[in-house]
Amino acid sequence: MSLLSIEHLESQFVTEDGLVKAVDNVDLEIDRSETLGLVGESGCGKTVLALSILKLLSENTKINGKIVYKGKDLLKLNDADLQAIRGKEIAHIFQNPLNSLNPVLSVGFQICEPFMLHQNARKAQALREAVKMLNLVGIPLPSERAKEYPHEFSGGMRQRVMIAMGLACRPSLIIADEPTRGLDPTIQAQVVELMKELIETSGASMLLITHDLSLAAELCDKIAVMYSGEILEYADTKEFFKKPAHPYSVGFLESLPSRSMKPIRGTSLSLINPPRGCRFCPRCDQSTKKCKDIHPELKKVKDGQFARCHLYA
Amino acid sequence: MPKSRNVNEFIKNKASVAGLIIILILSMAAIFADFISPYSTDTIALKEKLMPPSFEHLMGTDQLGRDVLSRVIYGTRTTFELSIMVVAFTATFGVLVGIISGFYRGIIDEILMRLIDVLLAFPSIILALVVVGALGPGIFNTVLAVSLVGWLYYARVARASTLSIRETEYVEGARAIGCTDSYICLHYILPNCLPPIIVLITLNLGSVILTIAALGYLGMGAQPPTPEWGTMLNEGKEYLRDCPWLSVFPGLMIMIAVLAFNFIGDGLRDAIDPRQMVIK
Amino acid sequence: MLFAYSTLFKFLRRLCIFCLVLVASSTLVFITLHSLPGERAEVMARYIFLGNVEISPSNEEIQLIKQKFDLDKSLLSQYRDWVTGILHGDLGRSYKSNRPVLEEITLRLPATFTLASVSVLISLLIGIPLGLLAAIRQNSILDYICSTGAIFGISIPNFWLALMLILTFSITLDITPVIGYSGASHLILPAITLGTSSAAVLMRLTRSSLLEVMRQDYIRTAKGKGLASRDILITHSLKNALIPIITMIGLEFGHLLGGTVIIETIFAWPGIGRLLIDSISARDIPVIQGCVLFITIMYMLLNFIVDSLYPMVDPRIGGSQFA
Repeated sequence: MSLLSIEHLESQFVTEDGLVKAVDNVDLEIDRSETLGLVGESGCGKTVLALSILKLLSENTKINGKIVYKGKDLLKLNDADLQAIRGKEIAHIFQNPLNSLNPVLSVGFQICEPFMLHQNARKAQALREAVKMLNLVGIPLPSERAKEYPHEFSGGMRQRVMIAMGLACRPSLIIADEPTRGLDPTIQAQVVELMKELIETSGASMLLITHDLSLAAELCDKIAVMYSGEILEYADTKEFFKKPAHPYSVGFLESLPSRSMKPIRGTSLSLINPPRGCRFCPRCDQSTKKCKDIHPELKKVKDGQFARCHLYA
Repeated sequence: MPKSRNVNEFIKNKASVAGLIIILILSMAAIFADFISPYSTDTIALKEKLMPPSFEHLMGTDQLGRDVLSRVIYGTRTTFELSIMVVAFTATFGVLVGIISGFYRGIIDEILMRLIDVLLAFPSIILALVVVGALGPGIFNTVLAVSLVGWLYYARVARASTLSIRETEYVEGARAIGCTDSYICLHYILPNCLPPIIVLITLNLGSVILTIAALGYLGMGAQPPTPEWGTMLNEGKEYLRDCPWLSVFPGLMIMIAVLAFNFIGDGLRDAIDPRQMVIK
Repeated sequence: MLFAYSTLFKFLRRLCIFCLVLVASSTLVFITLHSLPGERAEVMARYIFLGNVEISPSNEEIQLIKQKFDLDKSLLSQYRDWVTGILHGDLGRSYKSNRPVLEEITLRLPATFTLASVSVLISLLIGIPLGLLAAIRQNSILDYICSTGAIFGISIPNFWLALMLILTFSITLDITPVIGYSGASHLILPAITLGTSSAAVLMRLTRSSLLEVMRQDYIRTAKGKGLASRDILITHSLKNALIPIITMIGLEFGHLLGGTVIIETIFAWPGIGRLLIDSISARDIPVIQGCVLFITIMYMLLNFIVDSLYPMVDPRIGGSQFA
């Protein structure tokens, strides 16, 4: 039974140079208590996709399609209903905690807000809960540190604060955008452990956005590979890492330091006027004439693995 | 710096273009005053004094019978001459000091910083008044007084730009291939300073015009019979009740000129890539 | 403990700069005015012997003055005398009225203070709310009107605005008095004139500051938590937007003080600005020095106060803009 169902999602920006289709006709599903990893290189559209779910994109964007959560289309909700879902049912943990936390408000207050908003808690009660959350994410001396400001925390601590803020009201779906980016490897490991624990205890679903495949391997049940605004492969984690189907996925894995560190030749395309055929074609070693002309559909490769490639048509 | 895009941005801004046109018209008036002015500015005709606007005298006549429109046109010349003198001096001197100070750091830089902190925020008109008060009124002293503090704005902006580009690999590379300091300053640092300086010049011209006119109004600036808008307002203020045109037109011209420069400056600031701008 | 120490340190630092500015500006003025001792003697002679600054005194009269008031002493010793005088509360005597300078100034301080405070109030009450509104309804008609109005506000010469307001309201419509100093109706026009330009500057800054804040990531985080626009504005945006505005208020005080010079003259407002102008025309040097000293003190004091507001808004800064 799917918790979140994204159907034919299109997110477009109007820019000086033209219409940018950051997300081009994407379908995705997340089940209850499932973690889906959305992986891809910078600029492939994964963050835009994540922000589209709660309509957090900037003013000059257009979103088409359907995002169904517990039977309701999020894109058609009015402001009040959407605000009731944000932070309570679906929580977005943003990248870059230094800029994502308000510098003039105390950390405790910022964690209080979801409680005061969604659970009608009084300030004192909310503060108690906030301190509990800080404790949960492993911040020492939580009641003192709650009074402090974001600039007084280290990078790893700030990330934990973001997690605390996101998990405050026990959401059913967590959208985590690059939660370990920019952190030291040791801190990364700690945050990963923390997230694993929290997901397991709360039973929430998670959409994990990352460019780090090893992180995805640790945390995710399913992997979706995104490129140039499209999903190129969608598979169970085990199947994916055993034998990735799409040539791009293969190349991506090969480029990891833990493997051969062989880069994929070429650079990714502009999202303004995508080519007619397969978008990965210019960089693919196995492309044929068919790949240049005809745009492939997402087809089943085997049980638990789908790929958008003519090799499997 | 993608110049064509910046120019396009600027042109799209109607207010800025309007400002540019106004300044061009005023400049033409200043340059060709002798040809377009209906009367001479110093013909005294006491029989025709204090006449309201009419066909013969579109802006009326003043207390000595002089045609106001003509004086306003020549006033454009006075105002522009004075302001350009002030800005030319302050901008050149200020940018020079700012670049040197930002490039070499050290004691000079420290002193400049302190000077900027102290002098820039203090009401400059009061300093200008004191200088004019000590040296006496007149055109030259006005220019001197207004320039005394004005160069600091340019120094601050130039210094900030210098600091930002000084540490880049761009400049380090130039040093590595053996460029001299002066070469680097001239060819790398100065061009980087130019966009915010140009914006500052247009905005600064506006406030310089206001200061010069204010000094003129207080009787400390250009002295009669020199036609300067502020001085004209000073001469006309005692007739405010009966001959308001003496106070309306010169002041209106001041506002139009300053407005035009502000429109241009705003448009320039928006058009130039904000990442190149070091100050707001 | 460390926090208290650093606050104290920053306070002392600000105090030092305060004194530095005071000393620097008054010295500057002193030097400017005193570098021509012959002139000074001449001016004094005009007043004392002739009671009239227009007629030139004779050489003997000038010599007498030089001797009586020790004007032949070196610049340094004159400076020393002046500073010693200040520390004893004696700023000398006006050449024109022969009253102590301190008395002349303190008599007029309340007038300038009233005018300045009302003007600041006007500019804050008009500038900031309009700026906020313009930012919230960006690109609407209201925004367009406010922004255009603001550019006019900063372009209009304040002396001309004063004349036009007098022309409209006092002469043509006859609803406000032109000059004088008794009652609120006398305060309206001067305060509006002075406040306009500052209101325009503040409006523009508030607008751009709020727009800048709204673009920040932490506003998106607030949205993501489910906060409504009103809460985002009041709780998350305002404080951040205020930070550059507070700096500007300090700077605007400077412009305001400069503006009082002209406005008080036009409206015959008996304040320090008018005293300064009159004393410059009359070459009344002790008064000029005293006025500049006082204006500097007022200005620095106001900035001091504005500075100490910083830590209240921005917890990242423990102290001042000078730090």
